[in-house]
This record gives sequence, structure tokens and C-alpha cells, in this order.
Amino acid sequence: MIGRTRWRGMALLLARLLLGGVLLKAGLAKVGEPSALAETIGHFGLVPLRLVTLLAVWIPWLECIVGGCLLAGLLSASAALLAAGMTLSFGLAVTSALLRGLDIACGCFGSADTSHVQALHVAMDALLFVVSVCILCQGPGLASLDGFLALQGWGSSDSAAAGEEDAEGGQVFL
Amino acid sequence: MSARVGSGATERKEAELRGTCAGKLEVPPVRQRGLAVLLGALVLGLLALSLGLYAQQRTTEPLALLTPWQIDPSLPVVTPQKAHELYDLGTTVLVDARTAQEYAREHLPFSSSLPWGEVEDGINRLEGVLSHAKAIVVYCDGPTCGASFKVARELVKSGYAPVYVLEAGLPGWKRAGYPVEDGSTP
Repeated sequence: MIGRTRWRGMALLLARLLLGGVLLKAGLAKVGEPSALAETIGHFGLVPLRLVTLLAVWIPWLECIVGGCLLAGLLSASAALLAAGMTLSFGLAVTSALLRGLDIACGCFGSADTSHVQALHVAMDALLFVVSVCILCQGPGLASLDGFLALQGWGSSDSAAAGEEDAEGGQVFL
Repeated sequence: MSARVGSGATERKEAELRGTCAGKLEVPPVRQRGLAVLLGALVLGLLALSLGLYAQQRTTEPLALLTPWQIDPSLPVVTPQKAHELYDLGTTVLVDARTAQEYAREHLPFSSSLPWGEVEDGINRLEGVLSHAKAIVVYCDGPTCGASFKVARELVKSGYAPVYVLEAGLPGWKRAGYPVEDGSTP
């Protein structure tokens, strides 16, 4: 019989894989085309023009690293915190564009994504934000590197809870 | 008796072991955990920035960082003041790259409507006006509006020069205190 802790660990694992997968896909789609992303950010008109190119260079790599960390379950809480910040910012940016009546490309998944800003994007960002906060507060769930490192005694104090969960789940990482 | 002593030692050992495990798996205080999470986030953020900057160094066409962004850096932009000076010369053509409806609502005085959506037909239609211009200034809704850059690029491709983009578009022109007109014809 599967215990409550294990169900919770599996749910968190699924949430982490979903969030990490979406962020990694979005990052990889944009990482090779910073000028196109700069144009997308510029169209939103929310950040000073001096910061547009810096953000266009930074955001795709941040999405890739955060997505990768979440998939592996490494520094999960830190990655979830950054993911929460990103999804909240993206959601607010799209909401602001919709309220101002801007008909601009979302650019969520690179220049190949031609969809324009719409309420669906806000809903998606809100869902991912909730998932990020769950991982931040509840831990990475089963099969995380954080848990594995904690069980080996190498993990930070931050990953101890994850180790406990994996231990209760029966060393699912290995 | 000896059995009881042995049992007590085992219990002590188990208790010690439990204590060690509990020590390892003990959830740290909230503040300590918060600091660890923030530090981790900072490291991840800096790593991403470093990778992004490194990738920019390796690319053949790096972006100009921390300079005011514009959609097409190859096209010269002019301030509303400079555009007004050019307009005062009387030989400059002002081109509105927004839609016909937006143009009808308000536009720069004596400007011509050339919406991005019908740029090829528009250039042919305005050939008589454009061919006599010493300079062309294209505008739309501001620095983040791409239509003016797209129309300007098409004008350059068609052989017109010099072609400028009005830096802050119509809103910037109005902010500078210059007049606008309404109506669908200039």
C-alpha cells in the first residue's frame, strides 16, 4: 500500500518535471536568438530600453538552468524560487499587454511561436507559478538529486527534507 | 542479568543511531533555509548571466548590451526636435506607418499614410511625393513599435535616402509640444 508521504512525493515529482520541462523547452527555443527575444521584450514596453538586450541575453539561459535543475531535482528550492519569479513576471507582463490592448507576439517559445498575447498565457503562467510555489514550500518530492545527496550526507541542510522523503519512499533515486 | 545488560546496550546504540539520523535529517530553522535558498538562486542567476554573456562573446553578431535598444540599429533615429527641424525645411516627407484608422484619428501635420500592411502599394502610390524628398522621417507609436522600422527598411530597399525613424513616435512628438492633425487626408 502506498503511503500518504509517497503520494505527496510523486505529486511533487510530477509537478517538478512539468515545470522543469516547460522552462527548459522555452529556454532552448530562445537561447540562440537573443535579438528576436529583444524585439519581443521591447514590444511589451515595460522595461527601460537600456535593459532590453541584457534581459534577452539572460532570460533564455536562466530558463534553461532553472529547468534543468528542476528536472534533476538539484537546488530545487532555489530553482523553484526563480521559476516563481519568472512565471509571475511573465504573467504580469502579458496581463499588462492585454489591459493596454497590445496585439503583440507572446514569444513564449521563441520566434517559431507566433501566438499573440492572450488570456490563455496568463492562465498558463498562473498555473506554473502555483506549481513553483508548491515545490518551493513542499520540497522536490521523489527522485531528486537533493534527496540523494542528503542521504549520502553531502547535501545542504536545505535538501535534508528531500532526503527524508526519498528515504521514506524507499530510495527511489537509485 | 547479562541478557538484560546486552539488551540495554543495544537500546543505547539504537538510540544513538536514531539521534544521528535525526540530526542529519533535521529540518533547519526557517531563516537558515531561506538564506540557503536565496544564495542558491543568486548562484543560478549569476551562472545564467555568465553563460549568456559568454555566448554573446562567441557569436558573430553580438548585441550591444546596456545601450538603448532599437528594433533595427542600422537605421538612424531622430529626436522629435530634429524631426521638427527637418519638417521646417519643407523638403522632408513625414510618413505614418500605422494603420489607416489610426492615421485618421490623428497624425503629424502634412504626413502621408503608409501602413506597414500595404507597404508595397503605398510606396508606389506615394512615389511622386517621395521622389522629391530630401529626407524621409517615418513614425508610428514609439520606440517599441516595429512598423516604422519595417516601413523605413522597405523605403531604403526601394532606393530612398536618407530615411530616418522618429525615435519616440507620435507620442514623443506630442510630448515635445508639437501639433498634430486629425482626418484621413493630410
